[in-house]
Amino acid sequence: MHRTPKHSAHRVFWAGILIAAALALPASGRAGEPTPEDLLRRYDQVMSPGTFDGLLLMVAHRQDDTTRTYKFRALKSKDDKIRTWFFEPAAAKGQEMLRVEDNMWVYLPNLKRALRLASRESFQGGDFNNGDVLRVNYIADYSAKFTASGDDKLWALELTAKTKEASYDRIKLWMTKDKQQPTKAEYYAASGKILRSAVFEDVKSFHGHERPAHIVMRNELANKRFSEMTMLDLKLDIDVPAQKFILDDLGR
Amino acid sequence: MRLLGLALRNLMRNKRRTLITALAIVLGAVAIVFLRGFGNGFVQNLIETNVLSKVGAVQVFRKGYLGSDDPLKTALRQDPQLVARIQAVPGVTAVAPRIDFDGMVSNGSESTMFLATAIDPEQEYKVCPKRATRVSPGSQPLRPGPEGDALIGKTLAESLGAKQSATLVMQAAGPHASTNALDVEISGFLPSHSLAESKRLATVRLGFAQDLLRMKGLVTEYVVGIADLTQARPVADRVRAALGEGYEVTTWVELDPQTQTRVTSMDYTLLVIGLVLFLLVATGIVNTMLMSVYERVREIGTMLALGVRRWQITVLFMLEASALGLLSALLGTGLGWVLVRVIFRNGLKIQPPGGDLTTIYPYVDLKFLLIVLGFAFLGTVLSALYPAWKASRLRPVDALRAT
Repeated sequence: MHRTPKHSAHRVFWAGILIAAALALPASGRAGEPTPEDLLRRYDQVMSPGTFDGLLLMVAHRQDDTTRTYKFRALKSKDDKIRTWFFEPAAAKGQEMLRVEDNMWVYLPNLKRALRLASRESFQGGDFNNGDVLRVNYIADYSAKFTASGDDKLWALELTAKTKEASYDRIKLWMTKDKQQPTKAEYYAASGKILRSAVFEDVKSFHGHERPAHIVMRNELANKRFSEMTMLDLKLDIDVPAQKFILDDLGR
Repeated sequence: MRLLGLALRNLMRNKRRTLITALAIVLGAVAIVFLRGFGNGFVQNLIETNVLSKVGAVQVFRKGYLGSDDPLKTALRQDPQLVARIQAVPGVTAVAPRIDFDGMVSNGSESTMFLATAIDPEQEYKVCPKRATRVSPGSQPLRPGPEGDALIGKTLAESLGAKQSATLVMQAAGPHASTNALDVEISGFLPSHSLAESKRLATVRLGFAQDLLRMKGLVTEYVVGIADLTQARPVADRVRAALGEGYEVTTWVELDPQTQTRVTSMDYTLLVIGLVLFLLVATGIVNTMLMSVYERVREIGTMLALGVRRWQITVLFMLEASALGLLSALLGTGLGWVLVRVIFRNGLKIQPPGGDLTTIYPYVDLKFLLIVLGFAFLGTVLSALYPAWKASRLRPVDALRAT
């Protein structure tokens, strides 16, 4: 028998396709369904797209029934650095924050100096922590698997910290099946205690990018406290000069 | 010897004046001894409340712990061999592990910040014996037993509405970035010596802190108990030498500079008060001795005319002053000592603003009594120098003619 080399290459090609499909099958479950990793990536992409320039409003409801409103601009660079500028209230005006990799700083205008921040510390005294706002990189920090969602329209994911830098030990995250938008989340301590819970509402299109415009973060250990984060505006794919993300640039 | 008898008799000639001068010296000595006793009691109380109930005499940390941004990442391994090496240093009486950390404590609806010390009750009271009694009236200190209970500051408990045996949640992060949370039962309260402490402090068990912070087998420091608090520095030096590189050894003087500053400022205050009293009494003595010289001008003239040497006149007046000084100083310091002993036998109860009642026990040591005695005596003698010299310089002719 004689076969042309072309014919043989053809078979190898098909075998390759079959093997690839076989490998992909257990990961994707039924055809067209995302993997937990896909959803995690999607979460990161929705909540913290490539580069952005956003205007946000945080209302912190405190345990003495007072509120404090912070208005700030957040800028994200291509290489995942974030910088913020605070405009309101007067007490926080002129403050700036910067995150480069796992390091965070806050610049205090009256001190004319930048102090180090920890990602677990509360963001401006509210119920988000610094990591929640300045470091959204779930795919790097957590491994995910599906869990019972209790709702046909939702995916439920169980996220487990895989680095020491993760803000929480465990997160339970619900995302809609249709648009793959987060709807709620629960954040747990290593002991299994629930620390906080979040509700993501009001999915809006910001210049074509859809994301929840309103997040309510509840402190489950001190339920008089909760904070609301509202995205007022969000521009994507902007061109940001790299020197904006250097520690020395804070305060300038 | 004849001069001494003469001097004593001269003192008795004007009893009222001698009595007034003596009274000035006695009162001065009593006042300073009394103040010192009070100061001592206060300092002792300060050291006991701060050093023997909190800081401990000497501390061992891993190098880089102090001043670190993230101290819990610079913890020490809990190591029986290390403990044995510290324990073997002369002057060391006990070694206790600890973890210092901070976090948030909440009651379900509200939360507030706390600063905690995690202790091993088995060892802790050997290095900080006063910690065992530093609880709010009606509360018990942590005793060896199961984990999961804590003592918290009274004001802290009140701000969270937590009564005895209430359950709160403590949140804290160890070397990880993420926060952990555990239930804790409030088994009692820490006293409110100061509002700042009562609002923030908590004492928990070591095992609880290690669970909460996920620091199994780690501690932030070993606290070293020593026999004599004044020997903290030399013992620390020996511990440092015994452990070698990789450790930081400190004493309460460095870790609790506030207490040290208060001790020093107390000493300075006493010194200034002492100096003022000394000067007041001394000028009084100069004055009375000068009066005594002017009164006895004719007498001195007669003595000189009869062949008494000028140096003998000087000595006579000096002896009068010395006798007066010595007797009054003895009486003054003695009286001061008795006052301190008798009046404060049961301690002096004071209530610092916003704090719990505390008892201080004033005392004076022999060394200080001897110093006061010496100064009162020498002061009197020195004050008499000028009047005595003045008397000896009189010319017999003028002196005899004087009225």
